[in-house]
Amino acid sequence: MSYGLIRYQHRKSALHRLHPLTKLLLVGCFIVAAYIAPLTIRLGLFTLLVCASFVAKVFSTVARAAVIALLPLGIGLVVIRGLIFNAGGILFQIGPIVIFESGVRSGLQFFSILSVFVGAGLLFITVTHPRRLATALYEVGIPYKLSYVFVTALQLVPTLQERAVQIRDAQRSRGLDTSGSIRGRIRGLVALLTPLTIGALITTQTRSLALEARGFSISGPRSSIHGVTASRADWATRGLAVGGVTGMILWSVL
Amino acid sequence: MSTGVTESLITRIQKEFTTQTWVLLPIGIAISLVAAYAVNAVRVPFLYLDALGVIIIAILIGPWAAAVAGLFVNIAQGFIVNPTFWFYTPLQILFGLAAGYMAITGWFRNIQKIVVVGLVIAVISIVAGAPITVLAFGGVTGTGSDAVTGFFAATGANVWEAVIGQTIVVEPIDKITSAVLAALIVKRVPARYRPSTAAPVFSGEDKSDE
Repeated sequence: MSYGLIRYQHRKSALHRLHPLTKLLLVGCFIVAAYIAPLTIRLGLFTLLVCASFVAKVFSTVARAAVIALLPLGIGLVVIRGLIFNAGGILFQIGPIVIFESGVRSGLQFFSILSVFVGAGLLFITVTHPRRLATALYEVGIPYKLSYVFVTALQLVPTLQERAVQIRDAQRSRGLDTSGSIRGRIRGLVALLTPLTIGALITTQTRSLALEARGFSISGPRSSIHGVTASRADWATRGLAVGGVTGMILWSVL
Repeated sequence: MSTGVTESLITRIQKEFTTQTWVLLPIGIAISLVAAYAVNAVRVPFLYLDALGVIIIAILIGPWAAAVAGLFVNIAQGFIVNPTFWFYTPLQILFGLAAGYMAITGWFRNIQKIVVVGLVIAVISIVAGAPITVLAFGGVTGTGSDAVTGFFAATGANVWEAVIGQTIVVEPIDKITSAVLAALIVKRVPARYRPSTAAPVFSGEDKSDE
Protein backbone atom coordinates (compact mmCIF):
# COMPACT_ATOMS: atom_id res chain seq x y z
CA MET A 1 0.00 0.00 0.00
CA SER A 2 2.48 2.62 -1.12
CA TYR A 3 0.87 5.66 -2.69
CA GLY A 4 3.68 8.20 -2.72
CA LEU A 5 3.35 9.02 -6.38
CA ILE A 6 5.17 12.33 -6.49
CA ARG A 7 7.79 13.89 -4.33
CA TYR A 8 10.42 16.60 -4.50
CA GLN A 9 13.37 15.42 -6.65
CA HIS A 10 16.71 16.76 -5.51
CA ARG A 11 18.72 17.85 -8.58
CA LYS A 12 20.99 20.74 -9.54
CA SER A 13 19.22 22.83 -12.16
CA ALA A 14 18.24 26.42 -12.89
CA LEU A 15 14.62 25.54 -12.15
CA HIS A 16 15.51 24.09 -8.75
CA ARG A 17 17.47 27.26 -7.92
CA LEU A 18 14.57 29.61 -8.64
CA HIS A 19 12.86 31.22 -5.63
CA PRO A 20 9.83 29.06 -4.56
CA LEU A 21 7.49 32.05 -4.95
CA THR A 22 8.74 32.62 -8.51
CA LYS A 23 7.84 28.99 -9.27
CA LEU A 24 4.47 29.39 -7.55
CA LEU A 25 3.78 32.48 -9.66
CA LEU A 26 4.80 30.56 -12.79
CA VAL A 27 2.35 27.76 -11.96
CA GLY A 28 -0.42 30.34 -11.47
CA CYS A 29 0.40 31.99 -14.80
CA PHE A 30 0.52 28.63 -16.61
CA ILE A 31 -2.89 27.66 -15.16
CA VAL A 32 -4.48 30.99 -16.15
CA ALA A 33 -2.90 30.76 -19.61
CA ALA A 34 -4.09 27.15 -20.03
CA TYR A 35 -7.70 28.23 -19.55
CA ILE A 36 -7.66 31.39 -21.68
CA ALA A 37 -5.17 30.67 -24.49
CA PRO A 38 -6.11 29.10 -27.84
CA LEU A 39 -5.09 25.51 -28.60
CA THR A 40 -1.89 26.40 -30.49
CA ILE A 41 -0.52 28.48 -27.59
CA ARG A 42 -1.59 25.75 -25.16
CA LEU A 43 0.44 23.21 -27.17
CA GLY A 44 3.37 25.63 -27.06
CA LEU A 45 3.04 25.90 -23.27
CA PHE A 46 2.93 22.12 -22.96
CA THR A 47 6.08 21.78 -25.10
CA LEU A 48 7.75 24.40 -22.88
CA LEU A 49 6.84 22.33 -19.79
CA VAL A 50 8.30 19.17 -21.37
CA CYS A 51 11.54 21.02 -22.21
CA ALA A 52 11.69 22.51 -18.69
CA SER A 53 11.28 19.08 -17.10
CA PHE A 54 14.21 17.81 -19.22
CA VAL A 55 16.33 20.80 -18.18
CA ALA A 56 15.42 20.14 -14.51
CA LYS A 57 16.25 16.41 -14.96
CA VAL A 58 12.84 15.34 -13.65
CA PHE A 59 11.16 14.33 -16.93
CA SER A 60 10.61 10.64 -16.08
CA THR A 61 9.09 11.44 -12.65
CA VAL A 62 6.81 14.14 -14.07
CA ALA A 63 5.82 12.04 -17.10
CA ARG A 64 4.94 8.99 -14.96
CA ALA A 65 2.82 11.04 -12.53
CA ALA A 66 1.21 12.98 -15.41
CA VAL A 67 0.13 9.78 -17.18
CA ILE A 68 -1.41 8.41 -13.95
CA ALA A 69 -3.28 11.69 -13.33
CA LEU A 70 -4.25 12.50 -16.91
CA LEU A 71 -5.24 9.11 -18.34
CA PRO A 72 -8.52 8.71 -16.39
CA LEU A 73 -9.32 12.40 -16.95
CA GLY A 74 -8.69 12.07 -20.70
CA ILE A 75 -10.81 8.92 -21.07
CA GLY A 76 -13.60 10.51 -19.01
CA LEU A 77 -13.52 13.74 -21.03
CA VAL A 78 -13.62 12.04 -24.43
CA VAL A 79 -16.40 9.61 -23.46
CA ILE A 80 -18.61 11.95 -21.42
CA ARG A 81 -18.31 14.98 -23.70
CA GLY A 82 -18.56 12.63 -26.69
CA LEU A 83 -21.92 11.47 -25.36
CA ILE A 84 -23.18 14.98 -24.57
CA PHE A 85 -21.96 17.53 -27.15
CA ASN A 86 -23.83 16.98 -30.37
CA ALA A 87 -23.08 19.50 -33.10
CA GLY A 88 -23.59 17.04 -35.94
CA GLY A 89 -21.49 14.05 -37.00
CA ILE A 90 -21.60 10.67 -35.30
CA LEU A 91 -18.18 9.16 -34.59
CA PHE A 92 -19.55 5.74 -33.68
CA GLN A 93 -22.63 4.10 -32.24
CA ILE A 94 -23.10 1.00 -30.07
CA GLY A 95 -26.81 0.28 -29.74
CA PRO A 96 -28.45 3.34 -28.16
CA ILE A 97 -25.10 4.85 -27.13
CA VAL A 98 -23.87 7.50 -29.58
CA ILE A 99 -20.46 9.17 -29.45
CA PHE A 100 -20.45 12.50 -31.30
CA GLU A 101 -17.46 13.81 -33.23
CA SER A 102 -17.90 17.36 -31.87
CA GLY A 103 -18.03 16.01 -28.33
CA VAL A 104 -14.77 14.10 -28.74
CA ARG A 105 -13.15 17.26 -30.18
CA SER A 106 -14.43 19.27 -27.19
CA GLY A 107 -13.11 16.58 -24.83
CA LEU A 108 -9.67 16.71 -26.43
CA GLN A 109 -9.68 20.53 -26.22
CA PHE A 110 -10.40 20.34 -22.51
CA PHE A 111 -7.79 17.60 -22.13
CA SER A 112 -5.15 19.99 -23.53
CA ILE A 113 -6.09 22.54 -20.81
CA LEU A 114 -5.77 19.92 -18.06
CA SER A 115 -2.47 18.67 -19.52
CA VAL A 116 -0.90 22.12 -19.15
CA PHE A 117 -2.39 22.55 -15.65
CA VAL A 118 -1.30 19.11 -14.40
CA GLY A 119 2.10 19.38 -16.13
CA ALA A 120 2.84 22.78 -14.55
CA GLY A 121 1.68 21.58 -11.13
CA LEU A 122 3.75 18.37 -11.23
CA LEU A 123 6.86 20.17 -12.43
CA PHE A 124 6.46 22.70 -9.59
CA ILE A 125 6.10 19.91 -7.00
CA THR A 126 9.12 17.95 -8.23
CA VAL A 127 11.47 20.97 -8.30
CA THR A 128 10.30 22.78 -5.13
CA HIS A 129 11.25 21.55 -1.66
CA PRO A 130 8.18 21.95 0.61
CA ARG A 131 10.37 23.32 3.42
CA ARG A 132 11.85 26.02 1.15
CA LEU A 133 8.33 26.89 0.00
CA ALA A 134 7.17 27.15 3.62
CA THR A 135 10.14 29.42 4.46
CA ALA A 136 9.43 31.62 1.43
CA LEU A 137 5.76 31.91 2.42
CA TYR A 138 6.74 32.83 6.00
CA GLU A 139 9.05 35.54 4.67
CA VAL A 140 6.14 37.19 2.83
CA GLY A 141 4.00 37.22 5.98
CA ILE A 142 2.24 33.84 6.11
CA PRO A 143 2.19 32.75 9.81
CA TYR A 144 4.90 30.17 10.55
CA LYS A 145 2.35 27.93 12.29
CA LEU A 146 0.55 27.45 8.96
CA SER A 147 3.88 26.54 7.32
CA TYR A 148 4.44 24.05 10.16
CA VAL A 149 1.02 22.43 9.47
CA PHE A 150 1.76 22.09 5.75
CA VAL A 151 5.28 20.68 6.05
CA THR A 152 4.42 18.33 8.95
CA ALA A 153 1.34 16.98 7.16
CA LEU A 154 3.48 16.10 4.12
CA GLN A 155 6.05 14.40 6.38
CA LEU A 156 3.39 12.46 8.30
CA VAL A 157 1.75 10.85 5.27
CA PRO A 158 4.50 8.27 4.53
CA THR A 159 4.80 7.48 8.28
CA LEU A 160 1.06 6.86 8.57
CA GLN A 161 1.10 4.84 5.34
CA GLU A 162 3.79 2.58 6.75
CA ARG A 163 1.80 2.20 9.97
CA ALA A 164 -1.33 1.40 7.91
CA VAL A 165 0.51 -1.44 6.15
CA GLN A 166 1.66 -2.85 9.52
CA ILE A 167 -1.88 -2.70 10.93
CA ARG A 168 -3.37 -4.27 7.79
CA ASP A 169 -0.87 -7.15 7.89
CA ALA A 170 -1.48 -7.67 11.62
CA GLN A 171 -5.26 -7.72 11.10
CA ARG A 172 -4.92 -10.15 8.18
CA SER A 173 -2.77 -12.48 10.26
CA ARG A 174 -5.68 -12.57 12.74
CA GLY A 175 -8.05 -13.62 9.96
CA LEU A 176 -9.48 -10.31 8.71
CA ASP A 177 -10.59 -10.48 5.07
CA THR A 178 -10.03 -7.19 3.18
CA SER A 179 -11.17 -8.60 -0.17
CA GLY A 180 -14.43 -10.17 -1.32
CA SER A 181 -17.80 -8.55 -0.60
CA ILE A 182 -18.25 -4.78 -0.23
CA ARG A 183 -19.37 -5.32 3.37
CA GLY A 184 -16.20 -7.28 4.13
CA ARG A 185 -14.06 -4.60 2.54
CA ILE A 186 -15.75 -1.83 4.56
CA ARG A 187 -15.24 -3.89 7.73
CA GLY A 188 -11.57 -4.23 6.79
CA LEU A 189 -11.36 -0.48 6.24
CA VAL A 190 -12.82 0.31 9.68
CA ALA A 191 -10.48 -2.25 11.28
CA LEU A 192 -7.57 -0.48 9.58
CA LEU A 193 -8.51 3.16 10.07
CA THR A 194 -9.63 3.03 13.71
CA PRO A 195 -6.31 1.92 15.30
CA LEU A 196 -4.35 4.02 12.78
CA THR A 197 -6.20 7.21 13.68
CA ILE A 198 -6.37 6.57 17.41
CA GLY A 199 -2.64 5.77 17.47
CA ALA A 200 -1.88 9.04 15.66
CA LEU A 201 -4.14 11.07 17.95
CA ILE A 202 -2.56 9.61 21.08
CA THR A 203 0.85 10.96 20.01
CA THR A 204 -0.41 14.57 20.04
CA GLN A 205 0.31 15.22 23.72
CA THR A 206 3.94 14.12 23.35
CA ARG A 207 4.29 16.18 20.17
CA SER A 208 2.73 19.24 21.87
CA LEU A 209 5.21 19.01 24.74
CA ALA A 210 8.12 18.60 22.31
CA LEU A 211 7.00 21.67 20.34
CA GLU A 212 6.51 23.77 23.47
CA ALA A 213 10.00 22.78 24.66
CA ARG A 214 11.27 24.30 21.38
CA GLY A 215 9.37 27.57 21.90
CA PHE A 216 6.53 26.96 19.44
CA SER A 217 4.19 29.47 21.11
CA ILE A 218 6.77 32.23 21.59
CA SER A 219 5.98 35.25 19.44
CA GLY A 220 8.54 37.16 17.40
CA PRO A 221 10.43 36.62 14.14
CA ARG A 222 11.80 33.16 13.26
CA SER A 223 14.90 32.24 11.34
CA SER A 224 15.24 29.27 9.02
CA ILE A 225 18.11 27.06 7.96
CA HIS A 226 16.62 27.18 4.42
CA GLY A 227 17.47 30.73 3.38
CA VAL A 228 15.63 31.84 0.26
CA THR A 229 16.47 34.99 -1.66
CA ALA A 230 15.16 36.21 -4.99
CA SER A 231 17.88 36.70 -7.61
CA ARG A 232 17.81 38.87 -10.76
CA ALA A 233 16.79 35.77 -12.71
CA ASP A 234 13.79 35.44 -10.38
CA TRP A 235 12.65 39.01 -10.95
CA ALA A 236 13.13 38.65 -14.72
CA THR A 237 11.12 35.39 -14.74
CA ARG A 238 8.36 36.97 -12.64
CA GLY A 239 8.17 39.97 -14.99
CA LEU A 240 8.07 37.74 -18.05
CA ALA A 241 5.36 35.47 -16.59
CA VAL A 242 3.10 38.31 -15.43
CA GLY A 243 3.66 40.24 -18.66
CA GLY A 244 2.90 37.19 -20.77
CA VAL A 245 -0.29 36.31 -18.97
CA THR A 246 -1.47 39.97 -18.89
CA GLY A 247 -0.88 40.15 -22.65
CA MET A 248 -2.86 36.94 -23.14
CA ILE A 249 -5.77 38.26 -21.06
CA LEU A 250 -5.83 41.55 -23.00
CA TRP A 251 -5.62 39.66 -26.29
CA SER A 252 -8.55 37.39 -25.36
CA VAL A 253 -10.67 40.35 -24.14
CA LEU A 254 -10.00 42.75 -27.03
CA MET B 1 -24.15 44.33 19.01
CA SER B 2 -22.09 43.44 15.93
CA THR B 3 -18.89 44.32 17.85
CA GLY B 4 -19.95 41.85 20.55
CA VAL B 5 -20.55 39.13 17.98
CA THR B 6 -17.17 39.84 16.35
CA GLU B 7 -15.43 39.75 19.74
CA SER B 8 -17.09 36.46 20.67
CA LEU B 9 -16.09 35.02 17.29
CA ILE B 10 -12.48 36.14 17.77
CA THR B 11 -12.48 34.66 21.31
CA ARG B 12 -13.88 31.39 19.94
CA ILE B 13 -11.20 31.25 17.23
CA GLN B 14 -8.42 32.07 19.72
CA LYS B 15 -9.71 29.37 22.09
CA GLU B 16 -9.51 26.78 19.32
CA PHE B 17 -5.87 27.40 18.38
CA THR B 18 -3.79 25.97 21.24
CA THR B 19 -0.44 24.20 20.72
CA GLN B 20 -2.31 20.88 20.86
CA THR B 21 -4.51 22.11 18.00
CA TRP B 22 -1.49 22.98 15.85
CA VAL B 23 -0.18 19.45 16.50
CA LEU B 24 -3.54 17.84 15.73
CA LEU B 25 -3.98 19.70 12.44
CA PRO B 26 -1.22 17.92 10.44
CA ILE B 27 -2.39 14.59 11.91
CA GLY B 28 -5.96 15.27 10.77
CA ILE B 29 -4.72 16.23 7.30
CA ALA B 30 -2.51 13.14 7.04
CA ILE B 31 -5.42 10.93 8.21
CA SER B 32 -7.59 12.34 5.41
CA LEU B 33 -4.89 11.56 2.86
CA VAL B 34 -4.10 8.06 4.15
CA ALA B 35 -7.83 7.21 4.46
CA ALA B 36 -8.34 8.28 0.84
CA TYR B 37 -5.47 6.01 -0.19
CA ALA B 38 -6.63 3.09 1.98
CA VAL B 39 -10.13 3.20 0.56
CA ASN B 40 -8.61 3.23 -2.90
CA ALA B 41 -6.59 0.13 -2.02
CA VAL B 42 -9.58 -1.92 -0.82
CA ARG B 43 -11.62 -0.66 -3.81
CA VAL B 44 -14.91 0.28 -2.19
CA PRO B 45 -17.00 2.03 -4.87
CA PHE B 46 -18.17 5.63 -4.31
CA LEU B 47 -16.15 5.97 -1.13
CA TYR B 48 -13.28 8.48 -0.91
CA LEU B 49 -13.09 9.41 2.81
CA ASP B 50 -10.89 12.43 2.03
CA ALA B 51 -12.99 14.50 4.47
CA LEU B 52 -12.46 12.04 7.35
CA GLY B 53 -9.58 13.90 9.02
CA VAL B 54 -11.34 17.26 8.63
CA ILE B 55 -14.48 15.90 10.36
CA ILE B 56 -12.35 14.37 13.16
CA ILE B 57 -10.71 17.80 13.73
CA ALA B 58 -14.18 19.41 13.61
CA ILE B 59 -15.38 17.11 16.42
CA LEU B 60 -12.19 17.31 18.50
CA ILE B 61 -11.52 21.04 18.21
CA GLY B 62 -14.09 23.09 16.33
CA PRO B 63 -15.06 24.74 13.05
CA TRP B 64 -12.14 27.12 12.54
CA ALA B 65 -9.43 24.55 13.18
CA ALA B 66 -11.34 22.17 10.87
CA ALA B 67 -11.44 24.89 8.21
CA VAL B 68 -7.64 25.24 8.44
CA ALA B 69 -7.33 21.43 8.17
CA GLY B 70 -9.65 21.56 5.16
CA LEU B 71 -7.52 24.26 3.54
CA PHE B 72 -4.44 22.04 3.70
CA VAL B 73 -6.00 18.64 2.89
CA ASN B 74 -6.37 19.34 -0.80
CA ILE B 75 -3.19 21.42 -1.03
CA ALA B 76 -1.21 18.51 0.47
CA GLN B 77 -3.11 15.95 -1.63
CA GLY B 78 -2.20 18.00 -4.70
CA PHE B 79 1.44 17.83 -3.61
CA ILE B 80 1.39 14.05 -3.10
CA VAL B 81 -1.07 12.65 -5.65
CA ASN B 82 -1.73 15.19 -8.41
CA PRO B 83 -2.42 18.94 -8.65
CA THR B 84 -6.06 18.57 -9.75
CA PHE B 85 -7.01 18.38 -6.04
CA TRP B 86 -6.02 22.05 -5.56
CA PHE B 87 -9.20 23.29 -7.26
CA TYR B 88 -11.41 21.52 -4.69
CA THR B 89 -9.78 23.28 -1.69
CA PRO B 90 -12.81 25.55 -0.93
CA LEU B 91 -14.99 22.44 -0.50
CA GLN B 92 -12.92 21.02 2.36
CA ILE B 93 -12.90 24.41 4.12
CA LEU B 94 -16.71 24.48 3.96
CA PHE B 95 -16.89 20.84 5.18
CA GLY B 96 -14.76 21.80 8.18
CA LEU B 97 -16.86 24.84 9.08
CA ALA B 98 -20.17 22.96 8.70
CA ALA B 99 -19.05 19.84 10.61
CA GLY B 100 -17.42 22.00 13.31
CA TYR B 101 -20.49 24.12 13.95
CA MET B 102 -22.72 21.05 13.93
CA ALA B 103 -20.34 19.33 16.38
CA ILE B 104 -20.41 22.17 18.91
CA THR B 105 -24.20 22.33 18.70
CA GLY B 106 -24.55 18.63 19.56
CA TRP B 107 -25.11 17.06 16.13
CA PHE B 108 -22.76 14.14 16.86
CA ARG B 109 -24.78 12.88 19.86
CA ASN B 110 -26.53 10.01 18.09
CA ILE B 111 -26.45 8.14 14.79
CA GLN B 112 -29.52 9.87 13.30
CA LYS B 113 -27.99 13.29 13.87
CA ILE B 114 -24.62 12.15 12.49
CA VAL B 115 -26.38 11.01 9.30
CA VAL B 116 -27.83 14.55 9.03
CA VAL B 117 -24.30 15.98 9.40
CA GLY B 118 -23.19 13.69 6.56
CA LEU B 119 -26.11 14.86 4.43
CA VAL B 120 -25.35 18.55 5.09
CA ILE B 121 -21.72 18.01 4.04
CA ALA B 122 -22.95 16.11 0.97
CA VAL B 123 -25.23 19.04 0.02
CA ILE B 124 -22.25 21.43 0.33
CA SER B 125 -20.26 19.09 -1.86
CA ILE B 126 -23.01 18.98 -4.49
CA VAL B 127 -23.65 22.74 -4.52
CA ALA B 128 -20.00 23.86 -4.43
CA GLY B 129 -18.31 20.84 -6.05
CA ALA B 130 -20.38 20.42 -9.21
CA PRO B 131 -19.49 23.91 -10.59
CA ILE B 132 -15.77 23.17 -10.03
CA THR B 133 -16.07 19.80 -11.79
CA VAL B 134 -17.90 21.29 -14.78
CA LEU B 135 -16.06 24.60 -15.20
CA ALA B 136 -12.51 23.56 -14.28
CA PHE B 137 -12.49 19.91 -15.41
CA GLY B 138 -15.10 19.79 -18.16
CA GLY B 139 -17.37 17.47 -16.17
CA VAL B 140 -14.95 14.72 -15.10
CA THR B 141 -13.15 13.88 -11.87
CA GLY B 142 -10.75 11.17 -13.03
CA THR B 143 -12.27 8.73 -10.51
CA GLY B 144 -14.76 5.85 -10.65
CA SER B 145 -17.58 8.39 -10.22
CA ASP B 146 -17.12 9.32 -13.89
CA ALA B 147 -18.91 6.06 -14.75
CA VAL B 148 -22.04 7.49 -13.07
CA THR B 149 -21.60 10.79 -14.94
CA GLY B 150 -21.25 8.74 -18.14
CA PHE B 151 -24.47 6.88 -17.33
CA PHE B 152 -26.41 10.15 -16.93
CA ALA B 153 -24.78 11.52 -20.10
CA ALA B 154 -25.87 8.41 -22.03
CA THR B 155 -29.46 8.95 -20.88
CA GLY B 156 -29.51 12.37 -22.54
CA ALA B 157 -28.52 14.67 -19.66
CA ASN B 158 -26.42 17.76 -20.37
CA VAL B 159 -23.03 18.17 -18.68
CA TRP B 160 -24.46 20.05 -15.64
CA GLU B 161 -27.30 17.54 -15.15
CA ALA B 162 -24.91 14.60 -15.52
CA VAL B 163 -22.41 15.97 -12.98
CA ILE B 164 -25.09 17.03 -10.48
CA GLY B 165 -26.76 13.61 -10.90
CA GLN B 166 -23.43 11.91 -10.23
CA THR B 167 -22.74 13.97 -7.10
CA ILE B 168 -26.28 13.31 -5.80
CA VAL B 169 -25.61 9.55 -6.12
CA VAL B 170 -22.04 9.49 -4.82
CA GLU B 171 -21.65 12.28 -2.25
CA PRO B 172 -24.25 11.21 0.37
CA ILE B 173 -22.71 7.69 0.51
CA ASP B 174 -19.20 9.07 1.00
CA LYS B 175 -20.02 11.91 3.37
CA ILE B 176 -22.41 9.95 5.64
CA THR B 177 -19.81 7.16 5.89
CA SER B 178 -17.10 9.74 6.66
CA ALA B 179 -19.19 11.41 9.40
CA VAL B 180 -20.15 8.07 11.04
CA LEU B 181 -16.58 6.76 10.84
CA ALA B 182 -15.17 10.01 12.28
CA ALA B 183 -17.62 9.85 15.21
CA LEU B 184 -16.79 6.16 15.87
CA ILE B 185 -13.07 6.90 15.85
CA VAL B 186 -13.39 9.92 18.20
CA LYS B 187 -15.61 7.85 20.51
CA ARG B 188 -12.84 5.25 20.79
CA VAL B 189 -10.08 7.76 21.60
CA PRO B 190 -9.36 7.41 25.35
CA ALA B 191 -10.84 10.40 27.24
CA ARG B 192 -7.47 11.53 28.62
CA TYR B 193 -6.11 11.96 25.08
CA ARG B 194 -9.11 13.96 23.84
CA PRO B 195 -8.70 17.76 23.86
CA SER B 196 -10.91 19.72 26.28
CA THR B 197 -12.63 21.28 23.26
CA ALA B 198 -13.93 17.89 22.00
CA ALA B 199 -17.68 17.82 21.26
CA PRO B 200 -19.83 15.03 22.74
CA VAL B 201 -20.08 11.96 20.52
CA PHE B 202 -22.73 9.23 20.97
CA SER B 203 -23.25 10.62 24.46
CA GLY B 204 -26.84 11.79 24.54
CA GLU B 205 -25.62 15.09 26.06
CA ASP B 206 -25.68 18.40 24.26
CA LYS B 207 -22.54 20.50 24.74
CA SER B 208 -24.45 23.64 23.71
CA ASP B 209 -26.67 23.19 26.76
CA GLU B 210 -23.73 23.21 29.17
